[in-house]
Amino acid sequence: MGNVNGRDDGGGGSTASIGNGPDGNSVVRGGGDDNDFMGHSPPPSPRVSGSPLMFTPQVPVAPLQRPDEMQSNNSWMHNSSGYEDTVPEQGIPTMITWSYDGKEVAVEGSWDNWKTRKPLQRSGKDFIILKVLPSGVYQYRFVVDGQWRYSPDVQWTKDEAGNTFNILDLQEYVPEDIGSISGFEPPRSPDSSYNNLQLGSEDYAKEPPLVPPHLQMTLLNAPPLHHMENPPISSRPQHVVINHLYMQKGKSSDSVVALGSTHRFLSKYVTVVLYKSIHQ
Amino acid sequence: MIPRFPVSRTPGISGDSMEIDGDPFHHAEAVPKILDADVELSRHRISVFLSTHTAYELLPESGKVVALDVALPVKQAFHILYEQGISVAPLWDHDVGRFVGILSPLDFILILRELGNHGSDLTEEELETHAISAWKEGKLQLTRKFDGNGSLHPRRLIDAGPHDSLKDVALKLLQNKVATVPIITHDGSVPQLLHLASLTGVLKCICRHFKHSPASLPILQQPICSIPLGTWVPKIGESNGRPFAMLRPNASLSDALTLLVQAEVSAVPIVDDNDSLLDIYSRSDITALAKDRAYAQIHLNELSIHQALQLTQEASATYGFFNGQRCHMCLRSDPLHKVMDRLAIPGVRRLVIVEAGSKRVEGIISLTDLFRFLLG
Repeated sequence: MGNVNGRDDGGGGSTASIGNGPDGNSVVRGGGDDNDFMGHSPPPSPRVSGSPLMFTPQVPVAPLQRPDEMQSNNSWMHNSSGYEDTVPEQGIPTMITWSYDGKEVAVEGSWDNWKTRKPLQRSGKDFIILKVLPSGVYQYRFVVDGQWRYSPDVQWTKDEAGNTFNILDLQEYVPEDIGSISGFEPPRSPDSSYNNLQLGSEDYAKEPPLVPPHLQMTLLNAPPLHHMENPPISSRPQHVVINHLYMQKGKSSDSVVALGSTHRFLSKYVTVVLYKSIHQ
Repeated sequence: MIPRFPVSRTPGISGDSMEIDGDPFHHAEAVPKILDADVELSRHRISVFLSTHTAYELLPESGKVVALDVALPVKQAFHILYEQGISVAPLWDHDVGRFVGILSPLDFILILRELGNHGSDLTEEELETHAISAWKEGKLQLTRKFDGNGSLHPRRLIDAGPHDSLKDVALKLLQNKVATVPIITHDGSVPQLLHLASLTGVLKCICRHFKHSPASLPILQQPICSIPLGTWVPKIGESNGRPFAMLRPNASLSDALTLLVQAEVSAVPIVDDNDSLLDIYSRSDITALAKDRAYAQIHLNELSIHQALQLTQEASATYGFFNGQRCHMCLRSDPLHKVMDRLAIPGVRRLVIVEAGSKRVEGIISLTDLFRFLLG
């Protein structure tokens, strides 16, 4: 996975057994050479502020196409049965940051079963590394000047033996920021008389008002991609179509109508279609 | 030590366990013994994971659910499920303002058998007006005939909330022997349907969490033949329970439906004369009979399984559904994590264990089997 640094020490026996501290002289030297650092990736961005939380654990960038890297991540894909039906997963780029003291920082993780240790690149006061991994949950820890450390800024957990690890939960999509949604104040309705008079003949003579075009972007018209896939996967809906009720007369029968609507629940979206019968 | 393979599928099949000889598979390969300590540790970790994560995680970022009004005629419901490419739908009752049940393939199988049953009151014309609610009431009478101890009270809807733990959801699915539990939130004035949860979704969460930390679940590397999991074909001379249910392609559809209902299995492998796997007929395939109203024109006794399967393939082609592989298989030597990965694919509820090369059927592992094992 990625570039295995030629100077990278596998850590001998110390990485395999939990409870032994890493050997003092097996710590890899980090930082130094730019050309060694993840040669294919873009150069790390210059530090613009000192905040350690500038780089969130998951950065919304387009997935990098690195076919040679995708397959090698998982230690699960060792099979020779010939019944292979799993698809190589798209790697998602993510940053791992160490923003505390230290001269040499490296990281090791469950993405390769703790086999290798990668140095982090120093960038101002922080140490960072870019990893491209398939979606999933990973455990990792830092090796800072020879000591195993975890970052308290990020989710962490302890196992039964008392070892602490950081957790990386890599989603396929970037979850929406709820704070920015719930702060939305709908604009006031425009001034008009909102009475409910019946339409007269002069109203029918006019063309009906056009439906706002964004309302056409409903998920309801998207055909199911996979047969029997439960639930069908949809793309994130546009906010304009939320909380609108759509109706469709049944295709197979006149007495059935479909009512559809998309709602938000916390940070996820649910489109519900209810089929009702209309009594003649 | 000889590994025991309990028949762990459903109570409908004999509950006796089958003893497998130490040299069962004609090879001299050593079957690695599974350590109890490994099993306990893995079970504990999975249990902790399921208890600390909620049903909200099962929801996709943007999902779609189809529900049916309970006053819809059964025939319309059948067609809607077929057109939408789904096999289950929750039922909404406007009069009481809540979801009251689920319509599943088993309902259609029972209806079809009733249609074919000359002594029954249900005719094809009546299907056009027979509402789902009326069917559900009548179904109580039917199912009591099968197991003899059905309760008089209609079953309440088994549902779960988005903040219930994954463990609660999995236990509800297992204990009530249902394939789907709707996730419904009662926050607003009206119950809102969020998702249809199944063991597939829970397994996907488990796989996602543990996949990249293989050391945390030691049993994942074990071959499945060494784990007491699934139902296996009894070897000659050691059969203790009922024969493993399989059918030939020229068997009638009515035989298949009888097996699906009475043996309480959700799928039947279709094999040739050498017991090699050809295809599999599962309960959800029944909705393909809605194509061109095939169910009206055929008598179940006269339609062979082979013809019914052809209908299913044509149905997928008509609607352009990507059906994927119909039978998902694995070998007895495959490690558990591979089996789990395959069962986590949406739409796959069981894997057929076959012999390499000949594809002879050796056993079946279903989602239910897997969860009963993982949850102890």
